[in-house]
Amino acid sequence: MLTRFNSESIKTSCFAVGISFGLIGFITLISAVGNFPDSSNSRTQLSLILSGLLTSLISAGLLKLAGKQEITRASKIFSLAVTSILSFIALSSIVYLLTGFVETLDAAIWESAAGITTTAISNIEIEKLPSSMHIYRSVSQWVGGLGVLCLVFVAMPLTVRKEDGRDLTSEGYASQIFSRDPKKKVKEFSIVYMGLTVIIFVAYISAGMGTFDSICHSLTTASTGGFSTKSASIGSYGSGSIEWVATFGMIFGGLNLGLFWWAWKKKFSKIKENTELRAYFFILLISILAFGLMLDRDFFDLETIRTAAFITASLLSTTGFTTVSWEFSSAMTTIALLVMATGAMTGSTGGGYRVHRVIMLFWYLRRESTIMHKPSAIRVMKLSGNKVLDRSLEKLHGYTAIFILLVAVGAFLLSLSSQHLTLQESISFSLSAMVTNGPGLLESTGVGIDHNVVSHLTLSALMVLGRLSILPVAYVVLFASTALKGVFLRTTEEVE
Amino acid sequence: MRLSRAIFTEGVYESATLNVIGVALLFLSPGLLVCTLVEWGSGSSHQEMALLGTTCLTLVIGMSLRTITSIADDSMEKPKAVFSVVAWSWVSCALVGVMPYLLGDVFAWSHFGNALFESISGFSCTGSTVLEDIESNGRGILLWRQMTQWYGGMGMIVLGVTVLPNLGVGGLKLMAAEAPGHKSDKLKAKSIDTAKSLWVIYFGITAVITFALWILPNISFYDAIAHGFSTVATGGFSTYNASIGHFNSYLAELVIVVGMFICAMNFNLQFIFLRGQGENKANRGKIKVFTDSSEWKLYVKITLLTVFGVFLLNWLLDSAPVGIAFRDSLFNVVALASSTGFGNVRPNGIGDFVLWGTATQLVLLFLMAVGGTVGSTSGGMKVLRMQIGLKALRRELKKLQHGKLVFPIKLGKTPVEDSIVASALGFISLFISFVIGGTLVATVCGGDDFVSSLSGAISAMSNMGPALGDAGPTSNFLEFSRTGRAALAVLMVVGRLEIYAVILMFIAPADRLKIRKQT
Repeated sequence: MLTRFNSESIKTSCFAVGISFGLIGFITLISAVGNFPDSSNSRTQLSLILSGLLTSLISAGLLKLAGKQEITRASKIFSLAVTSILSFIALSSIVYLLTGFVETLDAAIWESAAGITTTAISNIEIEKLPSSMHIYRSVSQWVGGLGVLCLVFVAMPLTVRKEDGRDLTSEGYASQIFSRDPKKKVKEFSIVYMGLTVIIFVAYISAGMGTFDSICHSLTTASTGGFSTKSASIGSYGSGSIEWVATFGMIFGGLNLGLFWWAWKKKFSKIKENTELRAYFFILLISILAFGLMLDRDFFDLETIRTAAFITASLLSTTGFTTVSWEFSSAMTTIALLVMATGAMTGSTGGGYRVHRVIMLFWYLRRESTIMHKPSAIRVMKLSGNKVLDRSLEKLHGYTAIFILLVAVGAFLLSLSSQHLTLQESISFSLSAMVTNGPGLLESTGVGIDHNVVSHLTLSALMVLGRLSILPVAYVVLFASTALKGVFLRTTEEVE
Repeated sequence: MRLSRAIFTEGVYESATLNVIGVALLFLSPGLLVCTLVEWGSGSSHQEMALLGTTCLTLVIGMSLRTITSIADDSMEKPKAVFSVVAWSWVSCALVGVMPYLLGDVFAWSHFGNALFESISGFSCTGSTVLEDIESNGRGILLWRQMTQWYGGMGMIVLGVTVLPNLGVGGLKLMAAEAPGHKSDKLKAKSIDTAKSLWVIYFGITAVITFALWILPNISFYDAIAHGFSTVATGGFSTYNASIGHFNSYLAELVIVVGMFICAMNFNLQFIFLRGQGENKANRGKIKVFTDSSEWKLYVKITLLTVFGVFLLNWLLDSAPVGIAFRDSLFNVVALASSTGFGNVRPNGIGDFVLWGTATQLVLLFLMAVGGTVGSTSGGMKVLRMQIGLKALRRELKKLQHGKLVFPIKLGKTPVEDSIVASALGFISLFISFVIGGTLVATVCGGDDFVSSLSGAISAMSNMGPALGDAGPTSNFLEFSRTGRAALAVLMVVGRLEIYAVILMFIAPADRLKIRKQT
């Protein structure tokens, strides 16, 4: 056991947990400051300040204990990612319990997981929350978005061995966009991310949303999180201009942040040749058209187009904001599930199967057809100028299979936990959590999921798996099972 | 690629496709003749002229095609040519299979689409029906309906044994990877012989199931042979509206369960079990033949575990009595795992899986997609592909842990080539893509219910039969819109011909259907 969990592993874990403590400290202190003028919620205020101070101190200690970490191996990156997110959820759950807005541990885990994984799913009475908790929830989604960007732009490229070539299934082409130096890279995409948030904030203010709501919504729009300060989400404002801002914000949130960087650097040719971008907008336009036609309203009415665009943007970017109830006809349900499953571009904060994988799958089908007709033909598949290797395709098929399997398992567990759920609802809730969207597609008689331990934990697990693109979690589970197997075998041998 | 040239004639025109279609149609005519006699003898209705007319039609067309066409020496050398030819001959049989339904007024001519759906469902061994009242039809017509599935199963054996391995995409190439002693090269060289041997087993199993059903009380010889046909083909058509539930007999269900379970097992393994391996007939009659196959072991495990799981769900969540819960779980799980699709619904909806809980239905949906083993008449993604897919995933994770090490994927003790792994994974992706496409067409273009469409698409791709939602075992596929039914019929063909054949059919039809006058 000790040989497996050696001092290096302990130091890595300390580092990961230290980061989580630090983040929680940062978020809670900011939230406490945000609540300063409001003295009606002293328990919340006190809980946040105490949590913030304590976690910041513990974080400093843990990071000092961990020392400087050289993170180059895939195994280390995956362990770090999983440990960080799990410890963050654990700590955030404690904050939720301390503030008293959530009564049970499983519900707290669920709320925390929804925050850090940028999923718009919650069972809290939103309107009763003090402003500090709104800030806490919004910032946790924004930080979650930043974490995803770190994973995509910095961590995933390190997991690919040079001799294997570029792995487009896992990392997309994200590694080519920003500077090569990881520190510079983090700085660059953080600037873009913050810039996007600020632009959305200004747009919300201009559209007539209040300052506080604009801050919260800009954080959750840029991160494609979807938490709102209103229980009816964006629909509660009843404002066309706010809906348009949210729509464009979500669309931009689902874009690869590198595109903004290229635009800033005036590398327009790179943007122009980006296949994924074209596919993203193609899916977006087709879906808007389909929803517009199916909404049972006058298609040429601006309100219809706005509603269709809003729904599409919310689904495709996996944000989860709503303006209307998601009770669709069967045709709309199918399209909505497909758009939701497709998800955003690689290098964005959105989740889902991702557009680049859809393109690869489509081209794979084309290639297979050609090869059958002309066996000697060599058809090179390219994605945004990058050759797609056979290894990447193999991984793609594996990813597709496990993605669907996890959604199916999630739907099974949800239907066990909530026996009135229909097949459609259980699949849609499971898929929605897996792609970090949030709301499921209800049937006309549906009442949603029952809130119990099984449903909360199932959805939390799906959100984490979806947020980390499955691989890191699967790796850690395999590693842990191998380690436990080793311990078990050794114990058995000792007994004998 | 070798197909015995002895079965082909030397006509004036060279067309491999038309010649093989002629042979296929001639194969159908004895069956049609038997159905004509049954219809005539039963006196239950007056559809014998429809059957006789179709018999004559198939004989005339078949003989004509054989007489006027020939196969050029080089035309069957390319695997894709054989692939395309077999696929087109299969489609031709499905088209001819429509005739008894139309001529016998089972469907009006204006409902040609429904007749075609029924015929495709038969020849693809699917078992989905658009007949509203099955029992109102004559015995001969219903026997023909059962027989289409039996013929479809025979065709599947030819496709699986002689055609798919030569393209390196079908189930048998996978099967050869672990089946002891049956190397793919050997199968190529003796493809027709192998097909004949497997047909003997196919006939044998049909006879055994028929006999086992016949000796049971209240089951006539007609019912026995009709259900024997659809059981061995893992088809699922029945001569009764309530399917097997009509008999309301534990023993009949048990016989059918055993039959379905065996017929979803690799026929090649059954062949070795019965005839032995090599010249010294090694392993003849030894259970080791099966237990050495990792796919067989997984198939048994999946089936048993699912029976147990569904039983628990039915018993605990749906509060069904223990005996009924076990009986219905066993029957329906095996019916779906083998992609047969028989129903055992009894009065008051007992045994109707559409009324079971959502969790149970999800398990059944998963079973539908997986299907049986390669080298059998069952449909679906097949257990072996799932097994390879899971092993490939595990390998990916191991590679992350130990980057530079090589991890071969093994089936039993035999390593699997990377090309086979890629092919299996690609097939799973294609399968999923087609299911999504089918669901999209049925819901968006046909306006059908989402659950029925999704489960209908999976059912059609797996050649299962019943679906969930509105298209359960007590219902029929008229619940779907015309567009939805068309989409599902296409999926049945795609699923039966293992996707690749259909792609080739439409990519290379021009040169395959080319008729050239001999000089």
